[in-house]
Amino acid sequence: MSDDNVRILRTPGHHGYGVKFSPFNPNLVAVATGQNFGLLGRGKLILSDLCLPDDGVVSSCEWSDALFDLTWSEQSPNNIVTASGDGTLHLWDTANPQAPLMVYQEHLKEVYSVDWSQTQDYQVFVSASWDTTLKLWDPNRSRSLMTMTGHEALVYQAVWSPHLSGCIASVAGDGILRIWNTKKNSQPSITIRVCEGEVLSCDWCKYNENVIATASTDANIYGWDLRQPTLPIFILFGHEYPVRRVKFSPFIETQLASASYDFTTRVWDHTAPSPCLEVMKNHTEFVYGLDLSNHKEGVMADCAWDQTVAIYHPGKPHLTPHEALQ
Amino acid sequence: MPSVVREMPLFASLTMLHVTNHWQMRACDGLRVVLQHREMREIESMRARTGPMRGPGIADLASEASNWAEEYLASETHVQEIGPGGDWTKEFLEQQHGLTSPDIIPDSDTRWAHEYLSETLLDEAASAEASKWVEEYNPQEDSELARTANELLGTVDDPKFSNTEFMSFIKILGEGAKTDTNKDWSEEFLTSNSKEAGSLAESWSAEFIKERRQPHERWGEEFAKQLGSLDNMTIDSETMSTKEKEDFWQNLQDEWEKMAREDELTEHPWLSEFNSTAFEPFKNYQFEEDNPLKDHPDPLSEGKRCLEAGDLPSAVLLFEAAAQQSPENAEAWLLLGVTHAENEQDPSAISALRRCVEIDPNNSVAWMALATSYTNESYQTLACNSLKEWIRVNPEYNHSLPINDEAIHRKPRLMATTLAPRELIQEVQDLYIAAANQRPGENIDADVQCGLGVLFNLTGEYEKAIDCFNASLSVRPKDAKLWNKLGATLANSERSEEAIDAYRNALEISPGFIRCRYNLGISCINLGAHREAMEHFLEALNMQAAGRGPGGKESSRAVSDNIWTTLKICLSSLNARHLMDAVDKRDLKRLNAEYEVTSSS
Repeated sequence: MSDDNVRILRTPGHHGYGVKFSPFNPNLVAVATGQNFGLLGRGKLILSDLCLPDDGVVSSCEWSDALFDLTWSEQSPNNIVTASGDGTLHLWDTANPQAPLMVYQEHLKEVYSVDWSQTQDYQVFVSASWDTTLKLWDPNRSRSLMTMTGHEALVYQAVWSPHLSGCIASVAGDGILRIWNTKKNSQPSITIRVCEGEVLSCDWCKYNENVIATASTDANIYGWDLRQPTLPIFILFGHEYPVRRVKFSPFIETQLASASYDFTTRVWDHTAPSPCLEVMKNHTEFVYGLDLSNHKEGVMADCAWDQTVAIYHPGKPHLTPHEALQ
Repeated sequence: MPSVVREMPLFASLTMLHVTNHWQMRACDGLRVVLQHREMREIESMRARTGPMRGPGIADLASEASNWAEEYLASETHVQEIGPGGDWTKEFLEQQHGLTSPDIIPDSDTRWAHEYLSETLLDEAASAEASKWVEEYNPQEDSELARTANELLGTVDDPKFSNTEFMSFIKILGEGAKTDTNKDWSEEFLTSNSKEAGSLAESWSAEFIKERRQPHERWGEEFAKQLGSLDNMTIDSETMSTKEKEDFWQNLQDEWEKMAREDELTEHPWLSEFNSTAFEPFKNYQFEEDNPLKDHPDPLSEGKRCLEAGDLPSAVLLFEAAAQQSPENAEAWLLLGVTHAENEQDPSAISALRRCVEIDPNNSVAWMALATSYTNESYQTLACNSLKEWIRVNPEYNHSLPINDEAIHRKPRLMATTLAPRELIQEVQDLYIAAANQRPGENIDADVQCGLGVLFNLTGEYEKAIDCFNASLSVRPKDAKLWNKLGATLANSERSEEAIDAYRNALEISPGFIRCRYNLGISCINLGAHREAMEHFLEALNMQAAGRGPGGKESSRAVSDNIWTTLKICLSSLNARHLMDAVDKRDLKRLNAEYEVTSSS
C-alpha cells in the first residue's frame, strides 16, 4: 500500500504509540513503541533519518517496558525524553543509546504523555500519567518540580501552550479538559467538560492563543475558545471510532490533523464548509501517533499498531485508488 | 522492572463498544479482566469502582462542586515540592485518597503502591521464569480468562477489527500461546515476562476469579443508572444545595482574595481566572428547589402583576410555578425567560427561552429575547441565528429568506461560537436592513430596528446601533428594555454619561429593572464614581433579596453572581478591604449600613 508520496517505515515487532519530528533537523523523526501493542514486553525508541533508504534507522534506545510517548528537547538536538508503562521517564542521548542519561521515577502508574515546554524561556517538560497526576520536570533534576492533581481519571495527554509561558492543557478519562498555569500554582485555572466519554488528546492552535482542540471517544473533535468555554466553537464529525490524537497545523491557522481508531488519519479545516479535507488510510490497525513537521509545510507522520510509520504530504495526488476524498 | 500484562485503556475497548450495544459493559469489563495482572488487579478493582464513580459524577452534579472543593482543600495542604522518598509516597497516597471518594479506595491500594515501588527497584528476573508463566498458563484451567477473551471476540462484528493483529493477540489470550501459529507471538511471550511465574499463576487465577464478579455487576448497575440519568445532567452552581454553594464560594473567594492581594492582572483573563466549575453546554432549565409559590392557584396572572410592579424575584418564582404546573405553556416559559434576563440572569433566561421556542417555534418575542441574551453571553452565532428565526416567523418579512434555508434551531449546539463567521452576520444584517427599508419613512418597525441594533452591537458598530435604538424608541418611548439597550450600547462605545441618562429613563419607567440598575452601576465605575456605583449595586441586590415570596425563604436562584462579582471589584477599587468578608458572606445588612443604603423590604 505504499505509494510514491507516502513513505512507510517499518518497526517490526513493535507497535508505535507516538511519533515526533525533530525540532532541529527536518529529516529526523523518532517513534516511541512497545512490544505486543504495549500491553506487555519491552519498549523501543527508534530514531530514523528520512534521507536514508528503507527504514532509515539511525539508532534505537531500549527500555524494559513499553514506551508510550516521546518529546524532543528544545535545547539539545540529540536529546529525547520518553514516557514508559512502568511509570518512569527517561532522557536519552541518541548518539549514545545504550542507556538513558537520566531516569525520572515518581509516577505510580503508566506515563502516557510527555511534552517539552514550547516557550523558549522555560526549559522544562511535563508528564501525564494514569495515576491521574501531571508532573513538571527540570531535565537536570531527577525529582519533579511540581505535581498537578485534579483529574479524576487517567490523564491521556498534556500539552504546553506555544503562546503562554507556563500554561498547560491536559485531558483525561473523566471527560475533562484542564488548563493549568504552572507559574501560579498547581491547581487548574479552567476546567471544561468536553463530552460524556473520555478525552484522549488535545492541542493548542498555533496562531490563536485562546483556541484549543480536543479529541474524544465519541469520535468527535471539539474546538474551544477559552474566553468563552461553555460551548465548543467547532465540532468536526467524520471519524467512525474514537479519535486518538489531534494536532493543529504549524502553518495554517485553521487546519488540524487527527488520527483515530478507525485506522484513518484526517486533515481538517474547521472554517471550511466541508471541514474534512483529506482522509488517509495508510494503516491496518489503530493509528496512535501523529505529528506535523514544523519545517516542511504539509508534511505529516503517523504511526500505528500495524508496526509501521507513514510519512506523507497530503493534498498531493497520491491517495490509494480506492479511497475517496471526503 | 517487572513486565506486566498491562490493562488496556478503557477507551480502546470502547472502540469495540461502538459495534455492540448491550454487550458494552460486559465486553469492556471482560477485556480489562483478560489483561489484568495480579498487581494491577487492585488498581483494577479500584478503577472498576471508580468507573461507576464517574457515572454519578456526570449525572449527579450536586456533588461535583463539593468534590472539587474538597479536592482543592485537600491538595492545597499538600505542597508539591520535593521530599524524601518515603514521606513523599505517604503524602501522595493521602492525596490520592482525596481525589476519589473515601469509601471507594480499598486499603489494598496503599499496599499495592509499596509493592509496586519495591518491585521497580528489583533487578529483572531471569526469562526462564517467564517461560514458566506461559507454560503454566493453561487456558483450559483458567477457563474464565479464556472465556472472557472469547466473549470480547464475540462482540466484535466489524470485520475491520476482527481481522486486525490486535484481535489476533486477544485470540491468543483466549486460546493460549502454544496453539497459535504465529511464532513471533509465542517468542515474545516467553522472553518478555519476567515476573516470578509460579505464585503468579496460582494466586492470580484464584484471586481473579474471586474478584471478577464484583466489579462486573457494579458496572452493569452503574451503567444502567448512568443511561437513565443522562437526561438530567447538570453542572450548575445554581443547583447546588446552599451548603455546597457556600463551600464553593468560600474557596472561590479565598482564591480571588489571594489574587486581589497580589494585585496582578495577567493579559490573559482566562488564565488567571479561577474557575472551578466544569462548563456544560446549555442544559435543561433548573427549577428552584423550594419554591414557596409552587402551588399558587394562578401563578401566571400573579406573575404578570409582580412583573408590572417591578418585583422581579417574585415574578421568577411565580413563572416557574406556572411552567411547572403547565409545562407546555409557551407563554409561561417566555415570561420566565424574559424576567430572568431583566433580573441579570442570562444563562437561566436562555434555558427558559429555548424551552419556549421548542414548544412554540413561531414565538417572535422569544427569538428576539434569545438574541439579546446570546449577545450578552457572547454567543454571536446563536444570536445571529435567533435573529434569523425572528425574521422567519414574521409574515411581513420572511419572504426574503431563501426557501431552502434550514431552520437552525433544530441544531443549536453546533452553532455556538464566540465569533460568528463574517458571512453570517452580514447575511442577517442584510435581512434586517431589507426589512427596515420595507417600511417607508416614519413607519418604523421597532422590533426590526431593535434587531438591527443588536446586530450592530455584535460587530462593534456602536454608532449605527445607537441610531437603530433611537429609531426604535421614537416609536416605543415607554419601553424600558429599549432604553437599557441604548444605554448599554452607549456605555460600550465609551459614552458613559449619556449611557447613564438612558438608564435613568429606563429606571423611571421600570424601577424594578435590576439589570438596568446593575448597568448603571457599571457606568458609574467607568466614570470613576465608585461610591455611587456601590449604592446602585446594593439597591439591585436588595431588590433581589427582597424577592422571597410569602414563605420568607431566600431564593438562591434569584441572586445574580454577576452583580456580586462586580461589587467586589468595585470594593477593591475603593480600598475597602475590611468589607471583603462581608461580601464573602453576602452580608447585605452590613454593606447597606456602610453605604447608607436603605433596603427595600
